[in-house]
Amino acid sequence: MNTYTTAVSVMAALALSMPMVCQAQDPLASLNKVKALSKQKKTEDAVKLCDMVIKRFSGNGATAKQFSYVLPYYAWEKAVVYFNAGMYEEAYNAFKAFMDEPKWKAPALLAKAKENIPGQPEAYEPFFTYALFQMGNCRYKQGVGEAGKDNGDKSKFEDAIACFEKYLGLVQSGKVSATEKKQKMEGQICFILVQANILKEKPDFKKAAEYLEMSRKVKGRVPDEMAMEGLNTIVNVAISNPENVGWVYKLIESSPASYNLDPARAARNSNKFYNLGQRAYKVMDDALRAGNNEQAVEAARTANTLFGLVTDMPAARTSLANLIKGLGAYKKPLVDRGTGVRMSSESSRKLYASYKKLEEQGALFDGFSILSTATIAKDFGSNRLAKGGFQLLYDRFGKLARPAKGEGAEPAPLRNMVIMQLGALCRMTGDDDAALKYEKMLEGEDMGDQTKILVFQKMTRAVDDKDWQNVIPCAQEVLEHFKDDKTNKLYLTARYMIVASHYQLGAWEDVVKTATELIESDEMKAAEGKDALKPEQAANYDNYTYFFLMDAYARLAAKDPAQRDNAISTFEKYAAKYTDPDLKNAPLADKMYYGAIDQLMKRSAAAPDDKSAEEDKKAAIKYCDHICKNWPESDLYPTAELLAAGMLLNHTDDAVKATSMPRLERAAAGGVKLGTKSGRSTAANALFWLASYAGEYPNEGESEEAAKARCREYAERFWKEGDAEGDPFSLPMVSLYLTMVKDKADFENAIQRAQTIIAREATYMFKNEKSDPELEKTINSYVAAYVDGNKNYLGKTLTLEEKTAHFTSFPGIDPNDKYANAIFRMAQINSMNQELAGLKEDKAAKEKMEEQILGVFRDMTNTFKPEDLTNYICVQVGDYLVKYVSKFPDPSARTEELGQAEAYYEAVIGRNSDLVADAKLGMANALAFSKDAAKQKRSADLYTEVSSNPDPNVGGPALVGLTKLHLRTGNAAAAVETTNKYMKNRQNQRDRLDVMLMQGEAYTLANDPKNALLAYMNLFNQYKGKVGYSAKACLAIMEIFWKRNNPAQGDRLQKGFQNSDRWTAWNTGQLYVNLIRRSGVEAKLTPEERDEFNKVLSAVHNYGTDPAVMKEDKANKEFQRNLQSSKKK
Amino acid sequence: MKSLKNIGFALAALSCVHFAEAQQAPKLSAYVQMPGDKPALIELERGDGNGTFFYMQKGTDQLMQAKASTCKMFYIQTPNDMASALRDYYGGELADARKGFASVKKKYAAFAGLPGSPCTMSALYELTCAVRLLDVAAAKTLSADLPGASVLNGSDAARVAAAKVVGMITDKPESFADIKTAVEATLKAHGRNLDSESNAWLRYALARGAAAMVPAEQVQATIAADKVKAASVAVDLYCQAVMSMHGMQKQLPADALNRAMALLWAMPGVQEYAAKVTLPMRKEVWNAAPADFREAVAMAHYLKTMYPAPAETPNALADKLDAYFFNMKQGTKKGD
Repeated sequence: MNTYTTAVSVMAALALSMPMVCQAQDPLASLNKVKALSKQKKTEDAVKLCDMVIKRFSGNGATAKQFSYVLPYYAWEKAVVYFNAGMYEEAYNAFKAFMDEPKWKAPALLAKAKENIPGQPEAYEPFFTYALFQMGNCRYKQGVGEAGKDNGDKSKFEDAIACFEKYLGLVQSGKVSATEKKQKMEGQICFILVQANILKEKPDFKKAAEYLEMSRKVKGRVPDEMAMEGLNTIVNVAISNPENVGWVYKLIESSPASYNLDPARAARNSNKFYNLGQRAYKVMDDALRAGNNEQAVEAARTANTLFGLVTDMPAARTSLANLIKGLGAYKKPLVDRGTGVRMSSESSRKLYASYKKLEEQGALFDGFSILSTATIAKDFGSNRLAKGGFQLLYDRFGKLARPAKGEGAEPAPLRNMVIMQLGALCRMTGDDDAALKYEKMLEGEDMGDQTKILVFQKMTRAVDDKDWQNVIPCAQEVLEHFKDDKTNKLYLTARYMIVASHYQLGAWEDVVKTATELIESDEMKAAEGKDALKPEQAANYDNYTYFFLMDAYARLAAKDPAQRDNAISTFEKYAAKYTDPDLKNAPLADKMYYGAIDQLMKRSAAAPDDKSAEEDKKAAIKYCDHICKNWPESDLYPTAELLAAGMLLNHTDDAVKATSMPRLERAAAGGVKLGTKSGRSTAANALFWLASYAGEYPNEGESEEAAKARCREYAERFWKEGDAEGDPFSLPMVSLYLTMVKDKADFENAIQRAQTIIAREATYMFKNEKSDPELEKTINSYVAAYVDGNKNYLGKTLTLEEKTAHFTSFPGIDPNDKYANAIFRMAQINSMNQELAGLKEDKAAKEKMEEQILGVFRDMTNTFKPEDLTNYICVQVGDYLVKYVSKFPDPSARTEELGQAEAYYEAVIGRNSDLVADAKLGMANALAFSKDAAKQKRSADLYTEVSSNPDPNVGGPALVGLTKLHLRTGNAAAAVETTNKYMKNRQNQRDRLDVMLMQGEAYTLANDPKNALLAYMNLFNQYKGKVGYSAKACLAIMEIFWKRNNPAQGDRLQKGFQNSDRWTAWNTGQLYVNLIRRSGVEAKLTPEERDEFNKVLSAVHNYGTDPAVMKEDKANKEFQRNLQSSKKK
Repeated sequence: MKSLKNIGFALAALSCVHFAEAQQAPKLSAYVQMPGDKPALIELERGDGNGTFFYMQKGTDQLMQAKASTCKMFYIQTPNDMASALRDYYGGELADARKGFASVKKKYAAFAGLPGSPCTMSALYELTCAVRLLDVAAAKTLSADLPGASVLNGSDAARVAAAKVVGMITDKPESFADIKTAVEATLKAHGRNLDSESNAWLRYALARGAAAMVPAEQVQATIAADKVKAASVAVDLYCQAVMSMHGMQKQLPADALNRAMALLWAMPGVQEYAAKVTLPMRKEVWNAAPADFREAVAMAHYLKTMYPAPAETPNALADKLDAYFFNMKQGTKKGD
């Protein structure tokens, strides 16, 4: 019941002023009796007495009339009695009945009461409005139920809210009595409305917050006890539902008397605040894990607010000590007038004692709050804040201990845990010295179960530091600690880390060993329990183990091609194990398939025969399809489409080739969608191929013209979606783009584009000291297109001076970029050479042009001294000069250019930094042209030196060069030896076909037709499709047979018959020609291949018209016919 | 003996020249139990600033005096104006509270130094408000001249000492050494009694000192290599200040976080990295990011979570950095 003046106190005062005789019978004394009965819990009697008095004095008699003004007090007291007895429904009805009773409102009656009750000028008038408040109070009590019992009827809160709101309206509009106004109850009404709104069936936090805000602003202060009680209710309700967790801090922050009370009082609630904070933390933790960031933020702020309310122990100690001293021996509760705070010396002493005990036991609330706050900060990604928290715990809360659980148990000190965490956080934040200090503190400490964790953390620190060399012994230490717990996630993580560290160190043999052991042990499995790996973790480690193993084999394959088979078989085992395409269960599946494709393509390129090459390609395409089908969202998807398309484009069948077009489209779109650098690069590749080939493979019903127009569209898309500095397709696209020119506008646009890209790429190479033959090709294309375009579209024939001016100050090319400028000069020379070739008849013009070319050339080599150029450029220019010289029928005569080339190579060799092997190879090539024996010897020595280089780009070509030199100088035995050496060690390298051919030549030179024939046959049987080589081999075979000229041996009807060598020579050529024609290869021969093929055709014709051959062939055919007809019979 | 003693007091009181003035001054009501007496509610006239109080003997016009420390009970009732200031203080209305305490301090100046004196306690609360509001100048003057400071004990005395250190903040590079010495002295004298908030003040002051060694223009752009260490020390100290508050109050943690965030943002390579990152942030990118970048972002997220800027004064840097935040806990299970 509120402190509002009750009827009883008024009546009691009145009764005392009445004559004693009246008290026995009049209603005044009976009110005291009612109160006494109510206090004795004799509710029924008290109510009965009220009713009796009202009945007895309601008549018209004189006595009744005299005392009628006191009857409203009985009606009111009846409601109060019910209320005090907890009979809220009856109380509600009684208050309502009082409020609605017209009799009590009769002005005369009220006036009489006012007149007769001293000191109460408003008499019972305030009850008419106050009843509304009390009705709300009844409903509120019904809603809450009995204390400690969950028996409230939440539906009653709605009515309570209605009553309180109505009453608040009356108060705020001044329609209540002066007595009520004096009470200044607005704050309390608002506050009770806050609680009612939260406690009702569907809590209305918004409205509650509004009333809370209002409660701070309106008149009348909410008593602290009420505020504390109310806030407890609010927090408990709000925190019980994660969705409402954010309301806790909002309500606390806007509450009138916040929890943030003076330390002596707040100290009573520390434990509660801490526990509530922990509940909010749990909500935050769940929300973070679930990715519900909004709720996590709300819960974090609530937890922070609650931890902030936990009292600091020193402040509580000081405040309580001062209070105890101030109150001294005063035993009664003391209420401070100003603050309304109720204090008691005894309870303060008890609290002080319990705080002292808590401090002794290390149960430091503020320390735990800091610990929790630091944990939140860590969860929110800040190691620095967390480190700050643990630093404080280390500095100031040395005694912090987890309270004892259960009887007789001891508190668990947290000192070592704090040191451990602080050390780990120092590591994470890069403060290694401090970390070491804390780690050393724990050495020799009995950390119990933590020892294992510490050992594991030592390993993770090494991992964090990327100190892979150190990870391995640390991980082995972990394995030792967990040797009896092999399903433990820490054990399995350590096993995985050993493989991963070897991988990071590039120790491929060790990766193979440890990964194979791990896979074969079959230990990498998920299990039940919190210490075991979860299925997705186990799958993750296992996937990476397979990936490392496959990749280690792939890298070993660079030296030992046989290891490639192991890489592929590792993949096959993986694919058989992980059949579910869901990347959650097999997180590296797409990458494994991609790796397998790479390995298959490499194996295919080096395959010993066409059949196995084809099989590998087929498998690679199948895996590309697998990626495209299962992981269209993977980063690897566009590349898989591209790789498949690339392989299909290499197919001999046009119908198959055409299927690559839609794949390229998808690769381009997928690459662009990725939005990454590599995605753009994939798109560039795909768009380049589309621009190159779409014209050859029109869509169904599409005209050739439309398909070509589409090529142009792809080219334009390339510039927008694919082009990038350093992209390998940008320069080729320039060359292609220049071929698409149709008119003046096209020409100007293409030239502009070409200039920009060439300048950009040349600058990029210049800055990065790179070189790329594509730059040369593109510049050559540009020079030709520029000269032709000026003539064709602008009607302008450029003079030599104009050309020189344009190519020596090309827009955007750095004048210091000797590499690009040198290439331009060479391109100009090439262009002039082409012009020269066109001047077949005009001798004078020809001589002039030759002179001009020589002039430009001399100027060029004068301009670009070897010392000006980088190693890359020197080698490039040297190579260019050697290539240039090699075109002449007698390169040895070009001593000036060869001398210059030697100077460029010599500069690189002298610097002895990079590209030395390349320069030595180039030097050997230059010297090899010489007719000077000393130079030839140096060439041979250099070739021999470089040939031992494992790099296939120099080692192989050195052997090729050496063979050529031996052949040229007639050193047959050495040539045979060199080719045999190549075939033994480098048979899978790119120039093997040249070497196979030279092997035949070498044996021929050595006058060993038998082995020469074997060598040619070896090439011929394997690579018929490569006409540039097979035609040469075929011709050589035909010539050897023809020259050997063994006659036919034996009888056709007998076993062991052999045709004559000459028939065999002709027949070999004949069968080859037929094969090349029927297979459709002939139609696609390059001019060079056509020349070689024609030579075979000519030989076949010559040999076939030899009478002896014709006769033998006729006999052979006749015999075949007879044989077949006899079989039919 | 008893009566003689009281007479002695009375005589001493009469000799006080300010008697007439004391009559005019505001009084305080206190529960006092003098030796051998029962507890009684008496009106205090004033104090002598050193633990002695004066009161009018009941029923007489005799001014008596007694030493509070000899009383078995001495509890001064909170005057209404102080209760009002306290309400503001506990309700977080620090500016209003500060004004209220200043006025109470002045009004009851005559009672300074008595145990629980509204003057001394208001002075302490006023000082606390000033530090909480990060008013360094006020912290300096108020802590230097706190009426009745000598009677403060335990965490209250420690608080005044910590506030004095806050008053030493000048944001000048040379301030670090002085603040460091003062912090060490404060910890030595008050270590055990220093509550977490006062400890946060010390760490905050020290952080400001360390940060002052980094030129302001570098914090606006990029911190030079030779200042990175000082900046990093400042960040760690700001973090300690934030954690020491464990959720209490708003101004100091928010300010410390803002300053730490700005330092981290100006660390070499951080802004360059941010310019390269494509949003939304992905796990791999987050993991590969430089530690200072991640810390700056995490601090911005923490700041926005715990101490969001009011809508009318948005925190542009925190908003910008928060956009890079990545929740590393997402998708993890308990025990991970």
